[in-house]
Amino acid sequence: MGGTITLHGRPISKGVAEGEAIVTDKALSFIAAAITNDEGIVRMDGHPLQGRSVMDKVLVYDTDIYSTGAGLSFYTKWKINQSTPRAIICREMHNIGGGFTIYTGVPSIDRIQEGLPWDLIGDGDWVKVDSEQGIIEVTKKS
Amino acid sequence: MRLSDSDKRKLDGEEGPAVRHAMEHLVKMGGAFEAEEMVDLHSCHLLSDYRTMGEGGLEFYEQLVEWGGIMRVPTTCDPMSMDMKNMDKFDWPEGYPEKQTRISDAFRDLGVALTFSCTPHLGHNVPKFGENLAWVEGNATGYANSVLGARGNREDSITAPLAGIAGRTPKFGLLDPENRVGECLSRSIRTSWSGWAATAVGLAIFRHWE
Repeated sequence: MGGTITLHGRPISKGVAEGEAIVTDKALSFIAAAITNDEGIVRMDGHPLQGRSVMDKVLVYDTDIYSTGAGLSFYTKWKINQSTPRAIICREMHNIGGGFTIYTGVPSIDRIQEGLPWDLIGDGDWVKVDSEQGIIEVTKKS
Repeated sequence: MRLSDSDKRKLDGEEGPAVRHAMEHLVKMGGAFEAEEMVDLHSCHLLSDYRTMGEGGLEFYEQLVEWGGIMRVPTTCDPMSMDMKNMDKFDWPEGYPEKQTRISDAFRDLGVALTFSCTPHLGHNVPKFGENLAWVEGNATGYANSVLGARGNREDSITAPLAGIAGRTPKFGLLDPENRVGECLSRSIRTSWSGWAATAVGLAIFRHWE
């Protein structure tokens, strides 16, 4: 493991969680057709995360796009399949993502003061999100 | 976020567990998105499709029914994922039609009009100028905001029914009149090319913002 950096952002859904980062600078949707409910695998054609699972990761992405139905799709991932990320970091959280993370209690945070999240967090970094305090600790992979 | 006395009573559970549950979520939403207050809701439109929501969505709606939830504003719903009149003509997965039917049953109990349409504004759910809505259908929300002058965010499928049960919603985004002011002004003269000119201006603005 490499050095640790501390970032600051706007808390959306309050809580504390940590895990391995999976990172994209593109937008995402949690609708079942875009990220599968059973295993959390990204199905969006041509998306940089296509074929990878967001389950149990700390997911970094731009913002939510596509269907407003993502809210209840995410709820099924959380309640039935436990296939959601452990925490979510966005450049700008859409109220769609705000709705489903707040309702499920999955910690989420946006508007990172130090810069764009994908410039500061890399794939495989170990990330602790404390959205009670609006703080993110990033331990670089190497 | 400021809460009215009525909001506080709902949050304290004086109007039942469904309303309290809804208000707890809406207050957190308002806090996260920096709303200063809550406003009355006038119209609601919900997700119906079992294929999209899955088992969790079905349980979500049935839990609201169990808690005595009832929609306080005119509420319609999106299309479901099957043709109930011709369901025998398709090879549905085992249990699928029953689960889609349970969603409809829950909607009846919640007081949702079973319209199964993604264009509520073309039926019986037409908000007036200045009214607040919580609609899950993005295309309809765009129409309601820009043509009808109603106010609504592209609402997520969890928050919309909870706002309908509470009859309230936090004022942020396009619900706040301060965010409904134009950011650019284009001037044009009416010619036979006006349509093309408007398209070009729209694309130029989109690319500038992008």
